Amino acid sequence: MTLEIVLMWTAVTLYAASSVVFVVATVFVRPRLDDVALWIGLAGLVPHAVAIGVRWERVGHGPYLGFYEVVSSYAFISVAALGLIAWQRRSLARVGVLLMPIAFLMLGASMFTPRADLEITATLASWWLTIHVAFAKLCYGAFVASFALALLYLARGRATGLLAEALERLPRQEVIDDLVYRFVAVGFVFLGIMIVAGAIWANEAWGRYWAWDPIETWSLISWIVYALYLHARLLLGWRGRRSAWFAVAALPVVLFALIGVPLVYNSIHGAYLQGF
Amino acid sequence: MARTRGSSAIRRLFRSPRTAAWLLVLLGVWMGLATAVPQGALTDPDVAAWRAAYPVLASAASFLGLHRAYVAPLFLALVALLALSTAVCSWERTRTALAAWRSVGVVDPARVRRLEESPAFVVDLAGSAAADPLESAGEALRSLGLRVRRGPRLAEAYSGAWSRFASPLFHWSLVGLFVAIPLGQLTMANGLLGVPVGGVVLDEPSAYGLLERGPLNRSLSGLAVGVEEMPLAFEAAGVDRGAAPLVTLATRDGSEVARGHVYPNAPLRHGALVVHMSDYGLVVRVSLVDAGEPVAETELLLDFDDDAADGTTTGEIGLYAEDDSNIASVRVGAVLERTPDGLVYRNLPADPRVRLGLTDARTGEVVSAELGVGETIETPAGTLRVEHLGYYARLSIVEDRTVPIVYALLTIASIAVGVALLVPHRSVLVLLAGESGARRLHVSVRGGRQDPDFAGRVRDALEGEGR
Repeated sequence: MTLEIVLMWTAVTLYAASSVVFVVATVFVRPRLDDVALWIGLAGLVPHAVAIGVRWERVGHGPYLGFYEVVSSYAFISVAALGLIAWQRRSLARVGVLLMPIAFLMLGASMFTPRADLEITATLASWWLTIHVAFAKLCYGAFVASFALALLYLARGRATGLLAEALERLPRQEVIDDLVYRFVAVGFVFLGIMIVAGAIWANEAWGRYWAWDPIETWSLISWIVYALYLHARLLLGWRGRRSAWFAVAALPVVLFALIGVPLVYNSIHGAYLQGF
Repeated sequence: MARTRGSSAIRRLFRSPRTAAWLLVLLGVWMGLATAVPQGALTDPDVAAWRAAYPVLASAASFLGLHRAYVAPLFLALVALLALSTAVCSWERTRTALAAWRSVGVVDPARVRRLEESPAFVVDLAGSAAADPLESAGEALRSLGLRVRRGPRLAEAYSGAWSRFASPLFHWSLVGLFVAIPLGQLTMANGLLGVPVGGVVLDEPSAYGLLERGPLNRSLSGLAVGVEEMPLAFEAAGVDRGAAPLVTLATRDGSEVARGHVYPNAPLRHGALVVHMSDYGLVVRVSLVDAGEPVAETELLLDFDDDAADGTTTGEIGLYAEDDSNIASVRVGAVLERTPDGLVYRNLPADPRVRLGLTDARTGEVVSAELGVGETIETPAGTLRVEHLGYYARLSIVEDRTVPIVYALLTIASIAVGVALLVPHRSVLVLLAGESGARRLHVSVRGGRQDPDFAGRVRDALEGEGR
């Protein structure tokens, strides 16, 4: 337990440091610091991954039971999404100014929640769980990336002075706009697979594939929200600012479905986040 | 004429992407509201408490039918309209995809003229050494993963058919789901069946404690559902699965058709019939003996209840003579141990006992006692004996023939939407224009979504080949 906690706090520290350096690089227009901030953030993934692995080995299951495991894994995915974006287009590493604080806050918050080891119950013991959870994390990663890129698009569109200067090295606005779309599209497919896997699993475990449980309903609402984004973009010609605002507004809905619903509602799904 | 105009307006309405968008918005809002309001009958305690706490909202919720949000007429109407809109959209997309597919390789003079007059971009071949510029262009386009057809002046490149038909397929799958899911609700049967360990119960409506049947469900399977044994801590793959009854399914003539331990994620299947473990409880069998002869015997299922004094619910049963006259009514409860936290041990103690309260139907006299299995008590109605105290398995039995169809449609929809969004259809038309020495390529590019990079990649590829 101690090793895991030390590693987690190391990751928190590196994510915090990366966030600070990203902010400094943006506010004081120091593009070279972007690389430093990126590498500090990516370095944080190492202790984070090892901590997750150590816990996985000890408790016998992946990071999907209890607020601590779930939210810390979403923080991990946020940083991994930044790494993916920067790998695809290095000039977009600056999106870290948004993604790293998100990761830092998530991991930091999870460190103050109960960290009790939760056991796999009979209902959870299914390989559908692996598929369901894996796609939940993947869709979150894609949506948080689209959210950060959309915010960057919006900020750049209105930026003046130093901020405009800080953002001028980014790719063309239409390229960022297209990347937002691509991440939403990928996330939408993953979200759909998550819902389908969850439905099949529910039928195996409980004998019904859909029961309008609050978490099922909010997952479907998230799917509808992103379906609307795609519909508006592909059929109604929404692009640019309108489309970006939509991507920004959609993330809280999916976050609520993934993390918020079990905290607000009495749900049969509550076990995965609250451990009972 | 008016009717034609009307139907054309309705068709336009359902073809409109705005209609679909508004229906999605309304459904999303409806579902969001439904999660904020307790679901159930107005008499349900949760619903009644919420209505008492928010009297103003309660009247609006009642008016809209929000307490039964997913069977409310407004919700069903929105779903029906969305299904219709999706069907119209699927039809349109299929027509468009087929028309585009049929037009591959067909040279449309108007299209060629448009390409001559207003190409997306032009590649100058002045410095090109290629003997056959269209062949080189075709190679360049193949390197982008496109299929190429060419004529003497024109080359056409396009992505595979699957990318063209993925979007219609996705929308048709949704239409299929809009049909299959309600069909399942109309034809399914879903109930909780209590089967004593060592006993057999027929899958018939009268056997169920709770049974929901769709209006089109004709009959239940009639199979004999048996429970041979029920380990309370069944372990599989290193995980405690809890109580896992060994369930058998047999036809009326006794032929066994399925058997297996049933626990979460491991239901027993036979055709469309799926047996899940829901919970378990206790079964008590008592008999009334008069002058040494059993005159009545009855069985009662009891559930564990942490709030009850003895740890189980109590039930009341009637004892009847052979002529169906009521002899007595008996209140029955089992006596269980409790944990220090006050919770009930959900297994029988070493010396299981039953608490009985018998009321004589003729005299109204009440006799109470606590008996073990095989013990008797004298009552005015005769001798009451506890014959059996054991476990029963509460099995959830579902028969829904549409589940495999729903799974198939969900799978198709997932794959199709993935292809439609991530590998969108693309086509490129290249026209060789100009005279020898001043030749150039006129290019038009179409993407499934206006990918700002795709035209650039085509241009780079063609210019690279042209050099």
